Amino acid sequence: MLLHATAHTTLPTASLQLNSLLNLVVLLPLAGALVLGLGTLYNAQNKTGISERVVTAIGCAGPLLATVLAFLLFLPMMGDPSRVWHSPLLTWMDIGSFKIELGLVMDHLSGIMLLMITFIGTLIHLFSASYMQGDRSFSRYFAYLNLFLGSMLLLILSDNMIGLFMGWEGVGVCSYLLIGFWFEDAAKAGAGTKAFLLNRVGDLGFILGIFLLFQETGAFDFAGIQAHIGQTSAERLPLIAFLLLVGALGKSAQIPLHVWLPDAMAGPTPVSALIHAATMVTAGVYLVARLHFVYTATPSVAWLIILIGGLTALMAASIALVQNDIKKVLAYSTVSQLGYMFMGVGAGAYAAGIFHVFTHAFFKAALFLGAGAIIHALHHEQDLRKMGGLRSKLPITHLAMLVSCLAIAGIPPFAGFFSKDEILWSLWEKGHFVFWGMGLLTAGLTAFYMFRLYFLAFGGTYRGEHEAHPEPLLMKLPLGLLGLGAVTVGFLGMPATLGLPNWFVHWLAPLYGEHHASDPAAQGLSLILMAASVLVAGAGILLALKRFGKITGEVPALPENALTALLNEKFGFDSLYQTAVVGPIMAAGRFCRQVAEPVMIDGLIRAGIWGYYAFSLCLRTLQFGQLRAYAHYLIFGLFILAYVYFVLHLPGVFQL
Amino acid sequence: MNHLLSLLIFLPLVGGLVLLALSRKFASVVKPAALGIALINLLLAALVGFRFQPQAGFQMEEKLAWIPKMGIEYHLAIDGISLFLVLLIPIFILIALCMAQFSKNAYPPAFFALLLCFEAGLLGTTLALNLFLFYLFWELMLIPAFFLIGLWGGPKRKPAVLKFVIYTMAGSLVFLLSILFLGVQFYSKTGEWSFALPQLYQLRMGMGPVASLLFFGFALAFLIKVPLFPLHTWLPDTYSEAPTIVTFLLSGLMAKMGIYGLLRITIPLFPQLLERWAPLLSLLAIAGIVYGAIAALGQTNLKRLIAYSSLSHMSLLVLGVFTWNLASLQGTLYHMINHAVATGALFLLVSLIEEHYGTTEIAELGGLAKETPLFASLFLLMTFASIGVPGLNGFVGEFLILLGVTTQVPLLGLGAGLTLILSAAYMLWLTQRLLFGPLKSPVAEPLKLCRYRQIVLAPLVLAVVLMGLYTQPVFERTTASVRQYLQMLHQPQQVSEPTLLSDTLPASEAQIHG
Repeated sequence: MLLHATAHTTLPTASLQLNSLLNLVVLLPLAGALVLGLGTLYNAQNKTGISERVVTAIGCAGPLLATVLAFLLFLPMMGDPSRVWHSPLLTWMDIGSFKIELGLVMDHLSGIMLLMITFIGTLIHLFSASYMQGDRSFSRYFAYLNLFLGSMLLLILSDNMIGLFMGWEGVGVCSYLLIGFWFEDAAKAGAGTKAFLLNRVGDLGFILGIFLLFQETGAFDFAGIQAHIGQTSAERLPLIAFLLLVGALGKSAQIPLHVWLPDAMAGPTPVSALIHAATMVTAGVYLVARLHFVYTATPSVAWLIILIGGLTALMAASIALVQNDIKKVLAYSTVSQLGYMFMGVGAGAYAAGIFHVFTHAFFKAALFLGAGAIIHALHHEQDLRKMGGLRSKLPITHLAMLVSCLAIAGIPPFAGFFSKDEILWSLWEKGHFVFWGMGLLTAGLTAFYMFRLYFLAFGGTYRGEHEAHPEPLLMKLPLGLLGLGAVTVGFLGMPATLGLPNWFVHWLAPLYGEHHASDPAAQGLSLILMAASVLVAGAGILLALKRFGKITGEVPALPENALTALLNEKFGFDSLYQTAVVGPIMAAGRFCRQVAEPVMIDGLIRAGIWGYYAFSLCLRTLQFGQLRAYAHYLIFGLFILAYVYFVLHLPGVFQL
Repeated sequence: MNHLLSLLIFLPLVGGLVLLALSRKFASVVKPAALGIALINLLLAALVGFRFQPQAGFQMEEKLAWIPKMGIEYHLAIDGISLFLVLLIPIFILIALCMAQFSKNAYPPAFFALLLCFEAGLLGTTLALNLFLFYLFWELMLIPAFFLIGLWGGPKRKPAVLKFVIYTMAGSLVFLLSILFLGVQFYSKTGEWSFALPQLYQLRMGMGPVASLLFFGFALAFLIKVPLFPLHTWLPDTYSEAPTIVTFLLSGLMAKMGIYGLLRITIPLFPQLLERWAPLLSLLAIAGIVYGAIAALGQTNLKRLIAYSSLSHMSLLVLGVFTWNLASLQGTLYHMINHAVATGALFLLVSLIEEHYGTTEIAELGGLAKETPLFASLFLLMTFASIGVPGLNGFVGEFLILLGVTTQVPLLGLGAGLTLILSAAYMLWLTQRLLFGPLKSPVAEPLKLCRYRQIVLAPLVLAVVLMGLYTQPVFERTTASVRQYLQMLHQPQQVSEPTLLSDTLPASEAQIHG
């Protein structure tokens, strides 16, 4: 095993103290979780209750302070591009041959993720305070949400694989707890279990990848791994890259481990916004971007990433066409957009992939919170067919969702347009024309199903039974800010091919480099490609307008044919897993209990005992009490002993 | 106090026997006295831990000639391998006694006295350095266990305890024969009698078939106790029929004695054979991991489910032992504590369910999280610890064992790693049925954790949380000893083959191996 001594660059003492602020960013939400968790248990035990106001204050304090700290740490980085915050957290173990030290690092990649996660996390905490009002388990909810935020920040800020894995599994646990938050409903608890198990499949690959990478490079920390990546064996590296990718596929819900994400919608809607749209599910993309040096060295695995991303994007977008549950549409949309991000990082356009993570977080969080506001207003109605005409009843929600729909559809100048086009452009540029085509088709489908959702919810007339009540202020504020983000954050990454400033790529240049290719040919080509994607998106919107724009009566049912059946079946993954994996394993379990244990294994041993007993019976019959017979046995035995003695000690005596 | 270790063993032994004798006439004294003795013993163990120096080799040795003619000595000592078992045992016994004290099932005074005797057997096994003495304590462990299960177990306790004893005795007899045979070997090589482990280590057995036979003679008793697939069929019956507080000790402590025996005796005596038999035993361990997990998925009874999960987890420890590298051994030592804490705590929580609801059938219970949030939270926490969620203790051990295995043979790592998925599958499916969903309970009143029980369970909760992040206190003390044991395998020394007949007849060796 190679040994790698972790070498931290010595920092001036003044910034050393500032460095430890980074630890606070992670620890503050965790402290909130601890306080609220113990408080919840104390209350449950003593049948008392703290007011929701106090819980909200404690629950939002951690995220809010973390956001402030994140901005404070970010500002010096903007001034000094070489500035990277690095802070040791704890020595996890020292077993004699190696030492694992957990530390946090805020570099340009984790810095931008940190800003996004703390900012959106805080807004969703605020939104939750209103959404969860009156829930019996209000404080438990905030404890979980704080725990999630702390784990997520550990995930992105860790300077090594172990800390990242801890956060990775930590967010998985929180996801499990929050999907099954309303656990009295057995189906919801089951959805949580399903999510955890599929993530564990990924995590097995992930951790084996970590082990093998350690064996090759002798390091768990990213800096050490990157420094020794050149020495790894050419056969091992693709295997390692693949194993790590399996982890990413699980967390980011890509084929074939995607089936948990739609079921995860059983959790409260703000949870879906935070965990299952904006932050946790993008961790897989972050992992690939963080380990870019591994994937740059393994082009075959990188190509596999594009393939899986492309297939997932197209498949999920097509399933989203036929969903009637507003959250399910958004869930499949998330899976599809994650596929987009995978295509980006797979093609080596790490900055573009992360940029899409960034913009997507804003507009998808806005969409989910908007859906939450609708569900809240309609007394937990989630069926799009029972909505309609909500434009006047929920004006802020309507506005936020409209701009977010435009953003995700890729209409300029909204955020999604820039990030999506960046990915499409890099696919074309690297010669992946087929995948570019898949991306373009997905863009068209996306525009269609998003505006189907928009028109069914806000257009036409109201088709439901409940009286809609307006959204409270605490919902309006996060929705407004996120909507604003959906309009503006795209300008951070304007296409460099057109000679426009691309701040995002420039910001990530210390990690991924930056190339200036603004020759006139590329400029023209990129304009043509852009026009194509905008046209496709526009066509999708127009089609949606034509079919769903002004529905006053019943929503027309889908035609029943093989295609819609396939889409309704979600391409059959769930039933395949049920018959091919879950069913057989459960049957094997029953078989163990009913047959294998009592009959086969225990039976063998019982047979041995009975054989012993039968043998003893045989022996007993030999001893029937006649002295003469015993004398015969004695002499017979003597002969045998004598024979054995001679054979052993005087070899050759019996040879003739 | 030079006889600290002896005191640690004989205080509960003598105390237990005296209390057993008193248990009819002075019933009211026995329970508090037993608790007092267990508490004093815990303090003594703490003193041992405090005095322990983090270095290689044996410490606090006590040696007395016993049967000098046969080389049988009373020889105790402690090192980094046994230290944490010595600390764990008194804590667990005290917890078990407290749980029995606060239980609604009125456990008789004899139960308390026998638990103390059991403690003496466990501590003696852990501390003995003479094989003869080791065997004595090893068997001493069985007697109180026999009565504890046979007298106070469930309705089918009699066949269960019979099976348990037959299995264990079968292993023990082979073990005794092997000890004697090894003693004869030592005599034939050196002309002296000795059963002292440090001296026997020097024999360095070779790789012949007789040595292999002897290796399995030494391994069998331990592998049955662990147990290794397919020697496990005594386990589900015994674990589910024993009083749950006793099951807590069987899975938490007694099973660990098997692992400890492999570490302390089997492998150091036959270092040459490790390479030959480790592949087979590792495959059996992986079979046990997978089989135990799948069998756990099929169970309908809480106790049996956790019994099979224990089988699965213990198999991982066996794999760690036979992988025999620094990471896997450190992981094994650490995971012995983790498994004891997490699985033990789950059994204790099940004992509360059994006591309150009168059933351990999963189908008769459901939705307990709504009724009893504190209990459900504890159950969930222990579930997470047992399935190796990072940040909790279980992950540290699993991480190191899997790291050791994967870097040695990646495919074995994949097989063993299935535990990540399968353990999550059966445990989370269990919590889903037991804690979540609509409330289903055979009694009207909710289960309430009284303050005493909260205090008793608190050390386990603390261990689960603290040992997940703060691992240095353990590794600081184990590293030197583990390194020393690892080196035994690589010492280029002369190797001797055991022989069936005396060494004075050289022709015979040629006959057997020729």
